[in-house]
Order: sequence, then structure tokens, then C-alpha cells
Amino acid sequence: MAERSPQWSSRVGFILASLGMAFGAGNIWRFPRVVAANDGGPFLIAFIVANLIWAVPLLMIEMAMGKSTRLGTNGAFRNFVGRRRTWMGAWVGCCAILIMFYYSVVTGWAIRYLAFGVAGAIKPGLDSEALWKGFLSSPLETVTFHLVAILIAGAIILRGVQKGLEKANSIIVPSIIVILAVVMVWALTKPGAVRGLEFLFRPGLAGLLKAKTWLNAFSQAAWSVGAGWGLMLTYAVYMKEKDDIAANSFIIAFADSGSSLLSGMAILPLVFAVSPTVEAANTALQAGDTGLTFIYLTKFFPTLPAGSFIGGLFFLALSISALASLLSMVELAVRNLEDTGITRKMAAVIVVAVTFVFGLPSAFKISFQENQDMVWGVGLLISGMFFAYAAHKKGLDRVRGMINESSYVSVGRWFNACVLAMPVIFFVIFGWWVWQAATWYPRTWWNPFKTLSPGTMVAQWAVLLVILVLANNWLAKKIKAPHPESEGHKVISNP
Amino acid sequence: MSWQAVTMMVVMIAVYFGGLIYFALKGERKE
Repeated sequence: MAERSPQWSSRVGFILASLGMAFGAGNIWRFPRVVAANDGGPFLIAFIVANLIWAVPLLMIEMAMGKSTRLGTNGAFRNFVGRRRTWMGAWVGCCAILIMFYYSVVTGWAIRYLAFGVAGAIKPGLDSEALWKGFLSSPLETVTFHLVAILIAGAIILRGVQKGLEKANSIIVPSIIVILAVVMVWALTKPGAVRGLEFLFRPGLAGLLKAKTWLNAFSQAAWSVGAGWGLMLTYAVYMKEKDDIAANSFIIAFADSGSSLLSGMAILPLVFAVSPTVEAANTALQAGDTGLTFIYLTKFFPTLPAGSFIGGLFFLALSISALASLLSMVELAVRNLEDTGITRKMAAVIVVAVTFVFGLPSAFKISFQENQDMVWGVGLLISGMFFAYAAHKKGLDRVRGMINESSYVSVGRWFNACVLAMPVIFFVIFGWWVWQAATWYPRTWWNPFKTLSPGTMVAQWAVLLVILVLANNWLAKKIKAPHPESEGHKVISNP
Repeated sequence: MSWQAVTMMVVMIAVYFGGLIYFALKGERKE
């Protein structure tokens, strides 16, 4: 008897796993910073619009591809778009995997700070900057916690879709929401916290006329919801035939945005409550993702009543949200390996070992992690374009028909318009990021050895692209056909 | 907080969480 493909046990299980994928460290440490830097209210409006135009259609395309082909990124592009476009799926997968290498290190940082909190190290009078720099300059610690992160993720993935992924996310996601709500209520009881709320919800609608507000909103939407990463495609492989695509896409996008808003309502009041002046609060918010979290917040928490405990809870939320996102990246890599005939157990072992080894440079040097974050973060926009291309190649009406087949929310022709608009949105956002990077290195923007230069981005993308295009036929051949006996699975044959 | 900021907060919470609740409830009814 043929082995039955694994499936999510319920719709709720699928949604929680998808939310775990979407809600990562970026929602906690990037969203509050970006919304603060982009006029508050106008950014919140632009962000939800960006989600509806960019993220929701991409989530739908990914789900349609994963659900119809029942294959990981490589196989899905081969069967959905055509054999000659397998390299596009490999690009999508490689981008997510290259992010996974350093994301495991970042998850390790969060776990380390959770351990600091549990050990009582986050206490009044703490020199948080020295603690952060001391941690980063100790390879033994960064490597150990990187290993801890990927081992936990690997162990969960090894247990399978229902017992591992679904069960872990059914605990993680509600816990994140509860913890963030507790931190928010606690922060709002502090004097001066209301200034943070006022800052978050600044109503100056003139901000909507600024290009920067929209560029940042679309960038945040592209990275935050996880649309165009190939992760949703991977999770959709395990959907039941009757499972909805359209409404689930909306639910995931709105839930991710709502959770981001919740973390904004927790972090900004906290920053304003503990900063002596508005200028000091602004300085903290401009300190970058890690600066805000590991230096300022770590310093702020213990200065308030019950702050050390709440600080521990905060780092627990950060650790498990990062872990849930890491799980989805590991699953993407494992799914692609399984498609080549490797057993899940062996695939999980390979992915853990490879992630540990290739994560080491980021664990040793933060500038390497920053380089990879920039290169493959912007590279994800290219992945998004490949999904738009896939839908276009298949036929937008045909893809819409596939989405509507099992959806109780009918997707109209607005979907076609959004997908057709994607190349324009892509070129504007992509061009803006490359241009921004060029302004950081006015004389050496072409140099591939500068951490955040356009030169390093183009060089690394070009190397990956050439390798994948050359390996296209080999990649296409390596994918074993999915089990046609799987009940209810409609498999689109290779055109 | 100014009334404009309070209005913005109420509208944003309604949009962000209202959208989520709308699609979640629609799904439940269907199931």
C-alpha cells in the first residue's frame, strides 16, 4: 500500500502553523521601529494596504502551487510552471535556506537572552551594552546557542507534520499572543507609556503622500507575512483537499498584521515609559533591531517594578516566535530533500548538520550575518516575482479558478490586477533598496566585499543564479513523482 | 492622547482585528 502523504489534522492546526511561520522576530523587533520611523498612523494604513495588494495574492499563489503539486519549491515550480523553470523553485528554496543559516544564529541570541532572564542576569544596574558585546565576542556562546536553536527545530521537524510542526505551533502561537498582551498591559500601566501609544497612532495623514512610507510598508509586508518565501507553499503541501485557500490567506495576513500591531502597542509604550525624554526614546528606536532589543529593552526592563520577570517573558516570546519561523524554514529544506526520495529522518539530520556548519560564519561575525540578511532579504523580493511569473505563466484566471475551487470567499478579478501590478511594485521597492545601499557606499557601492553594498548583493545573486540555471535539468530529474495514490490529491502533471 | 490619535487607534484596531475576525467567523460558519 502506498504511503499516505502527511496532512494537517485540522484547519486551525494549519492556520496556527502558518502564523508561527509568519510571526517571527521581525514582528517584535522590526515592526515597532519601522512604524515609529514612518509617521505612525499613515504607516499602519499603508501596511495593511501593502498586505492586501502584495502579501495576500502571493500567499494564495503559494498555497495553490503547494496544494496542487504536493511538492516542495523545486518540484512545485517544475510541475506548475514547467521543467525548464525548476531553477526558479530552487532560487526560492535557496533564498529561504540561506536565511535559515543565519536565522538559526539569531534564534540562538534570543534563547541566550531568555537564559539570561531565567538566571536573573537582567537586573537593575545592568550594563546591557557590555552584556551584548561580551556575548557577541564569545564564539563559544554564540555557536552553542546556534546549535541549541537548530537542534530544537530539527527535533520538532523530525516528529513529523502533525506531532511535530502542528503540535509545537499550537503551543507556541497562543503563547506569543498571551505574552505580548501581558507585556502590553504591563507597559501601559507605567507613567508616560501613553506617549508611546500616541507616537504609534500619530494621525498625520500627510505621511500617506510620502514615498518612503509606502516603500517601507511594502518592504515590511514582503518580509513580515512570509509571502513569496516558499514557506507557505511548503505548508500548503499538507493541506486537505477541501481546505480553503482564499480565506486562510486573508486570516494569515490579518493575524500577522494584528500581532505586529500588538507588539507595537507593547514595545513603544515601554520605550517611552522608561526613557527620561522623548529624544532618549527616539535614540532607542533608531538603534537598529538588535540595538533596541538587546541593549535598550534589556536595560529598561529591570528599572521598572516586576521588570526582570516581564523582561524574561519578552525574551521567551522572542525565542519561540523566532523558533516557529525557523521551523518553517527547516521544513522547507526537509520537504525538498524528501521529494528526492530521502527519508524524513535523514533529511532532518542533513538539514540540521548543514545549517549548523553554514551558520557558523554568522555566529562568529555579526557583520557576516548583517550581509546575509541584506542580500537574501532583498533576494526574497526576487522570489516573490518568480511566484508572480508562475501564476502568469499558468494563466491568472486558471490560478484564480484553482483558488476559488475550494474557497468560501470568492476571489475576483482584483487578484489578476494585483499580480499584474507586482512587477511594477517589485521594481520600485527592489530599486529603492539597491539605491539605498548605494548611498551608504558612495564610492565603493560596486565592491562585493563591503557588508551592505549593492555589489555584494548582485555578486551573490549572480553566483547563485548561474549555479541554479546550470543545474536546472539535474534538479528537475532529482524530484521523484508524488504519490498519485494519495487520496484526494490532484497532481498537476509535468507539462 | 489627542482625540485624533484615539480615533486612529480605534480605527486601526478595528481594521486589523476586524478583518481577522470576519474571515475567521466566515470560515467557522462554512465548516
